Amino acid sequence: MIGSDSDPVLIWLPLRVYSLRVSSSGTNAGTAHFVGPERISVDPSLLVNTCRLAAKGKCAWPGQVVEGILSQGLCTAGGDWAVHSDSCCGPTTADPVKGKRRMGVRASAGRCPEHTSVRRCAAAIPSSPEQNCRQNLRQYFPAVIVSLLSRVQTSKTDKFVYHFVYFLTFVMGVNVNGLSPDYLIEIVEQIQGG
Amino acid sequence: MADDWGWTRRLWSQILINFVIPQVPLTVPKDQKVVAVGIVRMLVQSQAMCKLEFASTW
Repeated sequence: MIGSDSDPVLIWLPLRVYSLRVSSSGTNAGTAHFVGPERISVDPSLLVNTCRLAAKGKCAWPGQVVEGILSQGLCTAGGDWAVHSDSCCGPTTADPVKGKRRMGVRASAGRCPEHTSVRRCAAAIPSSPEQNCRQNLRQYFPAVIVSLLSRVQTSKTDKFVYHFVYFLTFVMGVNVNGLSPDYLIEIVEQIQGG
Repeated sequence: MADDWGWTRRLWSQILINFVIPQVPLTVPKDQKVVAVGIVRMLVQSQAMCKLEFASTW
């Protein structure tokens, strides 16, 4: 979701921990810095460009989106890039930039020099992917269920009911952290309760 | 609050009774795997399904 121009867009990074700050005078100038261990706020204009990359099939997951931001910025902005990724297990508030580099960002992006094990970095992230998936999906899932249910009530066809049931069982059966039968039942309860 | 909870449980069990359960035997072989996994996870891995209100749907 790309909001208004002033709002930073939050991307969830599953495993890699980035801390990057971009200051540039180019057209794609923007900032991307940590606001938390697993979230990174990105200037929307940068994200729009990266989403164009993603639409071409060049980015498949958020880490690649950030790499896409880096490469995009490197290609077009050509400003002063400073990246430090060595604060992976420490506090990640806005802090002074350590390892200044120029034009060598992409090689160091996503690496964690002190903790090369990705799992240790992931263990250092407090909120689990499960919670994140739940929270993000919770905005939209009740509306989806409500619209499907209203369609079931108004104009029911066999094919629709079949695929509705298929969707419900898919949600219950798919092996994704945070998607479970309990989650679905909870959402349905929430619909009726609210 | 108690009424709301009663409604909700009725809603989910209504979905189960009216839609899900009658459709399960009609599943085409291509989709049987997904539906079976979903039903089994609902029955086995769900805490909510262990509540008394859903006992009739078992």
